[in-house]
Amino acid sequence: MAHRLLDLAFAVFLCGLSIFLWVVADGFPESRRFAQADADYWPKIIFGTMALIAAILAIRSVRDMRRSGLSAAGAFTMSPDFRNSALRIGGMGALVLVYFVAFQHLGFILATFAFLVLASFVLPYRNNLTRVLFAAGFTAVLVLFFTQALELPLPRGTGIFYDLNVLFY
Amino acid sequence: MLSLKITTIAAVVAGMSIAAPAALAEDYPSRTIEVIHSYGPGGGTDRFVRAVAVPFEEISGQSMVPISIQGGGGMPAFANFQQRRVDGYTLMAISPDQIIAHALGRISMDAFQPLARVQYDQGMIVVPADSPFQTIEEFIAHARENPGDLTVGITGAAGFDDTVMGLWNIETGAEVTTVPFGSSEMVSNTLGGQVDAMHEEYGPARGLIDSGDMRPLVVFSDERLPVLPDVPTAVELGYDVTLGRWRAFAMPADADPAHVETLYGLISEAVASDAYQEVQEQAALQFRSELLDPEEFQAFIEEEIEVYTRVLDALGLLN
Amino acid sequence: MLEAYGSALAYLFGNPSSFLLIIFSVIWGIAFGSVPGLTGIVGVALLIPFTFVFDPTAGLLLLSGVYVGSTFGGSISAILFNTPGSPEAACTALDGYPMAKKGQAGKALGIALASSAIGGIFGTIVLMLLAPPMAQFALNFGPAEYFALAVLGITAISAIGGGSILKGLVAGLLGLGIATVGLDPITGTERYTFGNLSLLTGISFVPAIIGTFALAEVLQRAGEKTSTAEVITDVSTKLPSMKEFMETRFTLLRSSSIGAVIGALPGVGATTAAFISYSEAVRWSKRPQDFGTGVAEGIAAPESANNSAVGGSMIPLLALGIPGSATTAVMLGGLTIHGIIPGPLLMETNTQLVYTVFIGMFIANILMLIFGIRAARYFALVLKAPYALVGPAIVVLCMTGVYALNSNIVDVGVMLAMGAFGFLLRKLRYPIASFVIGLVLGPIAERSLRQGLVISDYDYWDFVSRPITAVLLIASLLSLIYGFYGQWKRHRQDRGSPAATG
Repeated sequence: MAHRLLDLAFAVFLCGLSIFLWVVADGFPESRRFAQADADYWPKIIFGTMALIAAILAIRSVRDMRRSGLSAAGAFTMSPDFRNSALRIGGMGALVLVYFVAFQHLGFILATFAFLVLASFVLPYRNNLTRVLFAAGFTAVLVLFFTQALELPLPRGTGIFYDLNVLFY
Repeated sequence: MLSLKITTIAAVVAGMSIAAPAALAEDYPSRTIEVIHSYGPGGGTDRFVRAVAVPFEEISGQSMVPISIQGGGGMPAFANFQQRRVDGYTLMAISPDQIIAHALGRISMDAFQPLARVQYDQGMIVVPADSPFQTIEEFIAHARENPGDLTVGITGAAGFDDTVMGLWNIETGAEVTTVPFGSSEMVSNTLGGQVDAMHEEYGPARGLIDSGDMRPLVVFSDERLPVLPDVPTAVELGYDVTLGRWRAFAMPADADPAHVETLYGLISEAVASDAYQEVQEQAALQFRSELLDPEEFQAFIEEEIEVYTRVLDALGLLN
Repeated sequence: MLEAYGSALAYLFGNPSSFLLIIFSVIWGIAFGSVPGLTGIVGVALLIPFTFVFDPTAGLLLLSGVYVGSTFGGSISAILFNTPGSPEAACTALDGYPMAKKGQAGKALGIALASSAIGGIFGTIVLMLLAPPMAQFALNFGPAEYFALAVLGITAISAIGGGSILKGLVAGLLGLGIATVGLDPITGTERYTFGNLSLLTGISFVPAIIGTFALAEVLQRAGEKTSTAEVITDVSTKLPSMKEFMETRFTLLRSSSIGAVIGALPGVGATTAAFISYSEAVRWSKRPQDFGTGVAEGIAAPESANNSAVGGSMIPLLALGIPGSATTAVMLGGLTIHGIIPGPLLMETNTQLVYTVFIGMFIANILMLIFGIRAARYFALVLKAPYALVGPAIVVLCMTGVYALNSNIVDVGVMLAMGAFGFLLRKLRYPIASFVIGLVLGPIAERSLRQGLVISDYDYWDFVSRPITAVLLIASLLSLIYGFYGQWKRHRQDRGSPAATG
């Protein structure tokens, strides 16, 4: 049931989003030279169709829910399994986001090492030594490979971290 | 605990490196110079930077590497350039695309300290071999009688090619319709007769010109090309269209003047080297590639801004 | 022509080191292809400075070997980790990874490898025998034809996905819609950037697919209860048996032909070829609803097509001097530095160079088969490591690769956003295949449609009445109707059987 509700919510969201994006497309600046098939030409076709189909999807999922006759009462109870799973996914997602921020400000080396160590706690794993050694080794290999072998830049971070990282690459 | 240690180490390191530049001012450059550009790896600008980098490394003992940050009308590359520290080790390879971004109000050319303009290319209008137009006069005459009927393939939308053809339309009063393509599709669509002509530089088009598959009608330069003595320039015909694609180095606006001077010296030496000159000739860029020093280049940029702004305005691209 | 091959062989045997170069380049290519973010283009571009050391022929051998290797390399990580190492391999992940998850990773890799080699050799043979006429044929493709080709690929969305037709369509439209963010290809107008200049680049394809496939998969695995237990077993790569091979022979032939033709078209390359041949494989299949669950054709089609497109994209480069793909554009630059002027005269003036490269690509494809098996085995060792280490490592590799590719942090952000979005789509059972097809073919469809309209002066009839366009569009329309009919029929059958409800 929770799934069906989510399905409905997403279809409604997509329908609203398409209408919004259609309106945004309508406001694109006009081009004098290509006025007959302007910047809004293609997006309007796409989002117009999408709004229509998403609306049908939404209506269908309402109809299906009515037909199956289930009440929404049980929709929000979670099984412990589901909760654990959701927690791990959320944890991983949050950690990736933190990594993304750290990637820019702390520079590649520190951010990556910390991420590898922390992320291995989200997933079940016991050996702490391997965890740290692996993180250090993998970070070192990547830094050498990208900056030395390929001469491709990695983020150096900002402020004092920049000065630190300039020493390495 | 851990973070405390890191901060301590970092602070020490930072202290060291802040003290360092003052003591080593004469040693500039003392590490790799990074040149940001907004084109693909292996593309024209990337090759330009690498071509200068080889002799540069021999002369200065420090390497120079291109950093490719593609797309978005050059905006991501510019953003990266601006975020970096002004320490003399970050350059940007600039071209008319930056002038256009300036005219469109997306960036400001004031963010740059011009360093050296190195290459200056020239475009042409090229038609396929089976085109009815033998000369540019016929081409113009047809366009005068049927405004907008002729289609000309160009590379990219609202960019350099668009400006050149826009200026051509303004100058000649014989309007052609531009069709934006990717660069290789532009050539195949012209060869296949989907469009009537294309705007292309001599270097990339010369293979098809030599084989007789394509015919240049006009060159956008002050003088005729020695390799194409029969192709008139637009200036000769009375149309002032000489815009060409150029490639240059720039530093951040608040760069140390001493660094600018040192680096210009090194680059001008590198550009004069045989190694670079050979690469330039192989790319057929030698015809009007005259090295401009920071001041000349600054003056050149100001002229360019004036022309581009005028044309883009006429094209209705400026709001 | 025989004389030309004679001089090419004379060159190869006169310079035995060139064999070493080919070996090195194939290994380098496979390595580059398999790392997410590092595409074949980067692999080729980074080697260009090294070609200065060699003569032009050896240089071009090196670059073309990398091209061959990188096109296959991406499929290893696509199959084993759902992480397409290169955009060309994105399509391979659609069926390759599900097959690996069913415990048949070895079989999936074997099919990918065999199909790659067959496609690659097919493309090389087309290049050897038909380069000039094919190049001329490709010139008949104007914007209208490109548009029709893209539409043909997009309409396959109607047949893809065992679930809801409507969800398939919405997923496809989402892909098409997301592709419109950024600068307009015709007018240069900013679209959906909401004043944010860093969005001008739009949603770049590489970060988008790495996000939708790899990141979404790591999230998915993080949520699985049995993340310590191995999901993928049996990674001993073996080539398909003769019987299995014969089952996919039509798919291989069709996809290789599609690959060679699309490869020869300038501006579209191996990635487009892979997706269009996947679409065709779905369309021609008796069981289209099984695609996406790990069927052999779903791997054979894109892999043979993208490798065949490598040979195909060399056609306009060598016959006309027009690069057929982004990678060959970089190769063209490399040739210029050596003082070689690419153009229609190249095949006459530099016969030895051209024919040596033909033979070199042939050898490279065979070497790819040999090294591919080895490389796959090494990669498979990673699967033995606990996912608590591998999962985060994949995230790091994706972030690093995507960042290093373009030094643009916005691309990394796009990848993350697409990862979350891909995860959501998957959870809600929107077919990822449709979404990615929209993402790949959308820009081609839009750009060529509008170019074609400008050229024909907005005359739609003139636009569709061109012979190739008309055939392709009618085929699309018929298949659209047929696809809907098939889905509708299956849907009714499913409703009829009680087991399928719920």
